[in-house]
Amino acid sequence: MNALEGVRIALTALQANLMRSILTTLGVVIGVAAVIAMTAIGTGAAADIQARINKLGSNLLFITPGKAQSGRIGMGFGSGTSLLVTDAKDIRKELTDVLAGVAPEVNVNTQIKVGNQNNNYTCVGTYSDYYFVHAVDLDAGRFFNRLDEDASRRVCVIGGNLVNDVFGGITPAQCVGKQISIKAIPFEVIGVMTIIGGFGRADDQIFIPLSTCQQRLQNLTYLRLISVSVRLDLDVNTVESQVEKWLRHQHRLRYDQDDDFSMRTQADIAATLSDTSRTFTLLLAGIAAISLVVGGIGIMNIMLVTVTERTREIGIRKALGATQHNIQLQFLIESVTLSVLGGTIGVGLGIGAAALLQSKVGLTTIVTTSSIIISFGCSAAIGIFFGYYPAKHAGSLDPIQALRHE
Amino acid sequence: MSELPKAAVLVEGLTKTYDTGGTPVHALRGVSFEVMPGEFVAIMGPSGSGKTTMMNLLGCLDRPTAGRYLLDGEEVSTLNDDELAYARNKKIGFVFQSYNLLARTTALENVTVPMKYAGVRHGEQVERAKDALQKVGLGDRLDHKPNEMSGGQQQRVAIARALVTRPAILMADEPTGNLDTRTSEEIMALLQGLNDGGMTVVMVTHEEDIAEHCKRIIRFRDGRIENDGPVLKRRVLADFIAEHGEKAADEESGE
Repeated sequence: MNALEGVRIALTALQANLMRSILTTLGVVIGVAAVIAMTAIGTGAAADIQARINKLGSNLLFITPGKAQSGRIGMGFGSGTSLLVTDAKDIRKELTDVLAGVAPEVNVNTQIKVGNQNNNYTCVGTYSDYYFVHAVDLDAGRFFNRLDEDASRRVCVIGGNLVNDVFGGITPAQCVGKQISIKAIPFEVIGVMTIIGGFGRADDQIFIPLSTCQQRLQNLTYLRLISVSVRLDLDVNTVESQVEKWLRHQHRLRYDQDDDFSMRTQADIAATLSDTSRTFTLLLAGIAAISLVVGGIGIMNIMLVTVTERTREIGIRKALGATQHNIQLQFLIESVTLSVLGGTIGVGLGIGAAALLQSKVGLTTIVTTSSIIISFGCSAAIGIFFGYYPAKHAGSLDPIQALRHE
Repeated sequence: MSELPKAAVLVEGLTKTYDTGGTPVHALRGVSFEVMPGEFVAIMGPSGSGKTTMMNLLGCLDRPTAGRYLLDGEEVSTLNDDELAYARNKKIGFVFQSYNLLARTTALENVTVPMKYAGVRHGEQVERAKDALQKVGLGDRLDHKPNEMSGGQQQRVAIARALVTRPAILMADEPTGNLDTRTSEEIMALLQGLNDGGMTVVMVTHEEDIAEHCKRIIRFRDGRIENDGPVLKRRVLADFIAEHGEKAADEESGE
């Protein structure tokens, strides 16, 4: 008996039990579809993050204070007291030959009032450079400029979500010129940011000039972050060490003292994020892979039942001249056919699900060739692995006993 | 032919002992006989006489504990499982009491099954299966499944399946056991027709009037041959193949 004949026998047998064959494949169908859809979501999310980072450009440098220690407990990101408002001022003044923009940030959590409605929001005090350092998109109006800063004007730019959450039912353009009270001080809205979505924090923040913040809201000494953009014609890493050296000098650190601030480039952050999203993708794929294995166990289960149920058939075939090997091969081909068929349908279903998630739910999904190949290969391997034991059992049945089986 | 024709079946001192833990059961206690090509033998005996064990051994489904068994001139008592399967496939055509057709599978596909294990080309499988079915008068029922056929028709499909590999010997285990008298005669007429065409037939039965259709009866008792002799008043039926078989079948009936 050649392999083609084996396939023919197996297909005839599967066809004779069509409904059961379909139900058996269901587990693998769902498993493979899940693997493909999940990795598509993971890969899509990673691509989203990458796209956002690319938009900001690779010439960004983030300076954060060293972590403050309260006893032995770190107080976390931005809690340090080593980065001063005056540092930002000095950087802007003295490092103009290497930096294109400086955007320090202080955060004030405060109550804002529009009409008779109160809400809590984070106010970010920064320089006008924030506009191009962070490549801000505006839906309406303008960002504050150096003149607003110098005059400490009471102007603000609001995050995209505030249009609906605070004003409700008006267009971004209509927000421009409105008055809002921040800590009972009236501010004029001069610009509305475009909603970034996803991981963007800026959507729910209010941006005001740092000078206004210092004078009107709260006179803060410490910064939580300074973002600077390096001049495009200069190497980021060279400038990074230049800034570091300058800041160490500024902070009067001795040569044997560690930095009391830390610096990270956009590339560092991109690497961290893509690491995170890779982990995320693996996690999703892992969960999906479990369902694939469960599907495989389903196949083994049905194949074992099938062997018992078809003992008589096995007896007949053996009496008619089938060897142990013939029977084993028949059942193995049956299980592989089921799992490969399930894999094929699963691939189609997975791609369909990914497309549906993209169009209906708005998730970015990217179906990778590798996920198709791997999950399809796994389904075939599962057919062999979980089909082997039932097939071996079927082949080893004694023909006389099998023929007598009712 | 200058030399003597070799026996289709030759058994010498065939013994089968089942060791079912505890006392051994002696199913066969040294049986010897010979079946020449073209014979039509009935094996009879009460239950427990060893006739089923004999049939399993003759059908190469089992190996004897001791003794020799030459099938079509070839020693088969010492073969391994795969070689036995090969012998069943090449030399023996089986007919069972309960037909043993594959369910949900057409008559034509059922008849092709043994050829699949014999490595016959697919196109030839279908041709030969059609011929065999025509020979047993089922040329118009190729696509019927077992549950769409009567018992007699199913048994005829089984006989077609047994013939299609052109075996040296046809072994039938109570082939009429599940059939009424009229249909039983139909099957016996078919077997007589095949035997007239030269096919060696060995069948097990416990019905005296069925055995009388054969040419020779071997009677078993307690694992030994009690009696072995020709049928004196043989019941001969009208040739089934000549009556029901179709043209294509006639060409082959001489084989």
